[in-house]
Amino acid sequence: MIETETQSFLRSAEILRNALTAVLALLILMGAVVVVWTLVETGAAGRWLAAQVGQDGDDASGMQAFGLTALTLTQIGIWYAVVWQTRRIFTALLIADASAAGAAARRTAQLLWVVVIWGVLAAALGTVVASWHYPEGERTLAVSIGPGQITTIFAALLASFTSHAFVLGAALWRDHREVI
Amino acid sequence: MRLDVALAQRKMTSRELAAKVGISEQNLSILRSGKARGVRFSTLDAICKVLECQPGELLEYASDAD
Repeated sequence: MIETETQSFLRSAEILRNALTAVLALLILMGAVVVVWTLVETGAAGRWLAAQVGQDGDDASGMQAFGLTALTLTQIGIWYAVVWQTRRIFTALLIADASAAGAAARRTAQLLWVVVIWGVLAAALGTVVASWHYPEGERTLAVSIGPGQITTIFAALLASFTSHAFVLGAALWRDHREVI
Repeated sequence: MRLDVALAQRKMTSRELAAKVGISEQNLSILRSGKARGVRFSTLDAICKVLECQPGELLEYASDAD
């Protein structure tokens, strides 16, 4: 019974690890698309990125477009780190290294809090950059907390509790192995 | 654990004991050296069954300071 459950668990862990590898590739692709788009069609990319923070980027300069691209790439980079750490949990579980899985889970939770904070900061910085071409007094600094941020906060909370459970589980597993 | 004496009295090797008890030689070595974090009752039961002895004959208290 336990053997069957272990096999099923390992299969699930391998599937999830492969899925996360695909997500990593997707994030790299997204980053590359944003960079290439900004280099090839700076104006269009700037307008689209400005629209994502609720600003009109019609008269935005190239520097603003590159600024918004940099913010977007930073966000993609942080998500890459989150997915990379999550993938490490499953890699550790596949080789039955409970301590490494616990450590990776804790880092994933910490990175999710970075995502929450950076998400709010990036959106605020995005409005500043996107409205930089407006006359003085009309520039915007908007702080928005929407469903996306709230969902990430829940995910970070859940990940924090789960990582704590992972660390306790790893300690129990170590005890179990050291008792003969 | 006083396994060395018990094994010598029965002219049994630690490899034989490990095989009969169903634990690895490495774990038996950890038990012999007294470095194990704990011993399961099932392991102790199996060792006593193979060596035909009482747990008290195998266990002895030694202070960490000794």
